[in-house]
Amino acid sequence: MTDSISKKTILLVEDEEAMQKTFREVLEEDGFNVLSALNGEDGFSIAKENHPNLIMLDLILPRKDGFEVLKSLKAEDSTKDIPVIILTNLEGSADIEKALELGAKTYLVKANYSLDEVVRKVRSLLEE
Amino acid sequence: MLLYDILNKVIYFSMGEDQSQSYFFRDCHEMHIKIWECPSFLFLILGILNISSTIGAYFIATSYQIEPEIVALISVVVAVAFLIISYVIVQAFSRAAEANRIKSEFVGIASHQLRTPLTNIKFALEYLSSPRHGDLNFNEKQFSQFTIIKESNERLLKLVSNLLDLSRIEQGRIVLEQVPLDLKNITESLLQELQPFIQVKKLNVHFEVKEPIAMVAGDNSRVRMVVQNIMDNAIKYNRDGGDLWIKMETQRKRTFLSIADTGLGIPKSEQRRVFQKFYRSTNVTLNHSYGSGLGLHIAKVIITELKGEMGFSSQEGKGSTFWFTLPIWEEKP
Repeated sequence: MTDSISKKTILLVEDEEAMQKTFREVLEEDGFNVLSALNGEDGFSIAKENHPNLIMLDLILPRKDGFEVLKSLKAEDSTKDIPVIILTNLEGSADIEKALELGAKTYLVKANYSLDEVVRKVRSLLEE
Repeated sequence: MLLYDILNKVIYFSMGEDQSQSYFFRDCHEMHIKIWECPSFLFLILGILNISSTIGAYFIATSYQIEPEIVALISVVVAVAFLIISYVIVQAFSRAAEANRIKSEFVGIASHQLRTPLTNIKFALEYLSSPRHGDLNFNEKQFSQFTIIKESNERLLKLVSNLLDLSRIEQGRIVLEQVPLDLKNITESLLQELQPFIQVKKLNVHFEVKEPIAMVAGDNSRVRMVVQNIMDNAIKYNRDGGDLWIKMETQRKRTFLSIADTGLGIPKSEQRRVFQKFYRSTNVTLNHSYGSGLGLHIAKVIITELKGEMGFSSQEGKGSTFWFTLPIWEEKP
């Protein structure tokens, strides 16, 4: 763990409170600063205000779905360079393609990845 | 219901035991479609009508040579009857298709909804069991109960994923990638992953590879799932201290993979049902209560979609060999 990574901020946009809590614990224990939002609209406005180093984004979200959030993030100058990891249980090829086309860096299906694997992806993206 | 049984018995006697075992009108029975709306029944009637009207027309034509109006009238009546029956058949088919679509949609939605809380549990359990996040301080008994929770959750998640796949297949929504895959690498990494289970059963693994093995064209996660399904079965249903043979070779633009075990085997009378969904062999269900009977069905659909072939041979009490082939990867010009 390097200090430069530890001080980075991650925004978690996830409507499942249980899952948000688990990821918050893990990421904070790893030394990250964690911000969170339970819906798409809040997620986008927190991203605009706080410029996190990375965003973990669910796709099925109330008030603005993940695709819309991704579109808004990429359309806004201040947020367009923030790397986005999609973390969802949607696994249709069309969804994956759409998210990557819209500019997501990585697409992870929750059911197929372990907690450690997700955190490793986060680290490797931040190290890039 | 009585009508179904009577008709089934008639077909049982006329077609012999083998064909009738699949219960001729079972689909309609299961979908609660009335017998006179059941497509297979209506086709039977249509066939009988067709044959008898041809024979009848011959006799009528010969006996009423001087009265062509009567022959014409009978022909019109028969034609109208055909038309009505055909219309009912089309209606019945669309009802059956609609029932099937609703069922697949329901399974799809229910599985997706189930997957969210199951994934929450999975991540929370992983958090608890990782030493990085602090010690659980469980004694041995508590730890074994904790392991039960973890394993049961994994099984549930796998079952739900299988159901989701099944509903996608049935709705024709399964989309598979075609990318170059290293089948040997996939097999090796799965062998590594399943090592703990292989060790518990004390299996002797024989991995025979006839080099060179060409890359195949397929969908990474799905092909991996197929190999894992076959390997899981070969381990789970093997006898303790048995053998696990894995063979691989590339021949005539196809790469072949077979996985053989020395376990329970599949009774001969059940072998034709192996790839049917929800099929589980009777000798397996005696000792292993869990298993969805979906893995091999999905595997076969995936391999076939990828333009490969899948099959097996098995002898009860001696073991089974499951194999598949996939076309090798060729750069498109």
